[in-house]
Amino acid sequence: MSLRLQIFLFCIWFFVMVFLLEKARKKVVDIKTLLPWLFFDIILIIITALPNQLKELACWIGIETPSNMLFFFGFIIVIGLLFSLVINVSKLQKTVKDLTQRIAILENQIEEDKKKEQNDL
Amino acid sequence: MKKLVIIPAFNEEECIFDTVNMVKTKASDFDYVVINDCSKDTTLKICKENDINVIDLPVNLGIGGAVQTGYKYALKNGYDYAVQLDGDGQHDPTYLAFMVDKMEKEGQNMIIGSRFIEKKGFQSSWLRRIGIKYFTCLIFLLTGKKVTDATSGFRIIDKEVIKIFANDYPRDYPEPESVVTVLKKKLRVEEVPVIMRERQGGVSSINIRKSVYYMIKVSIALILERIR
Repeated sequence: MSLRLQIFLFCIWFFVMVFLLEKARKKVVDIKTLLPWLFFDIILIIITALPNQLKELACWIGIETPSNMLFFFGFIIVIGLLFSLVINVSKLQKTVKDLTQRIAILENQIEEDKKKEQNDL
Repeated sequence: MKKLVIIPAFNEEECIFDTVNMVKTKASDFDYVVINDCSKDTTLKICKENDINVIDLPVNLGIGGAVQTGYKYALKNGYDYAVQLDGDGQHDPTYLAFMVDKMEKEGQNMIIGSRFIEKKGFQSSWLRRIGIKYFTCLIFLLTGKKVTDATSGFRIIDKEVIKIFANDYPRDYPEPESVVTVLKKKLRVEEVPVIMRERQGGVSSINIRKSVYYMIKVSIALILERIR
């Protein structure tokens, strides 16, 4: 990996980090959700800083080039992050369902109470 | 002065009745509200059976969300002071009068009951104490204020801070972050020594893995909060 490429990549990872932290700072996204993404960015910074180790690792696993390995693992990690979002969405769907049902039953209760009051009058 | 005790409760069937009774007897000039954070046990049933003022959250929000509900209730009903008192019996309502008194006399915005000023009573596990020490240092670095017990939930706040927290309060591990928020707004925070008891029943919800996450997440949050 040439020095120019390394510097270029460092700049990108740095801007990504600033971007993520800005979103956390402005409370647009919860820090809890951002942590895996921040962690992923740190991994990328480490990998960019140690291209030789990356080459050795690729050789050892049996992948032909380091860039292939980077893409492969990067892909797996992104799928992982995506799936954690899927889990999040599922939880939210269940929460919305529970709240909808509870509100509907509550409104029914209020109506019943109103009718009872009128009947008593 | 309208004063409110907020009692967040998650699965506290063993202690909630006693905790509420303690508040009624030892802090009778305070109103109270229990926030039932969608407990899976009979906490809600006990509250309803004993005519305890309870807000029943339809979804579990965690300590941050539950206590913030209390602050929203305080704001809506025009309370001048709001104090958090945990549902597990660790916080002693006897201190409340003293805390209010200090707040009024010194014009403080927030008073925290700290276990570590006089170091009496239940001091928590050594692991937690290291964590708490860490936060004391970090908060001092970020704000210049020494807070010996930043993780203490036993805190009383005035109207100004009620408004802030009702609007914006962290969902998990809210205590250290919220202290920095208040300090950053140049509001006045003080601590008083208190003696906390060990949990009177039930189980704590923090373990090792959560502790690591806690340290990382809250550290990042504190730094971001300071530069907001």
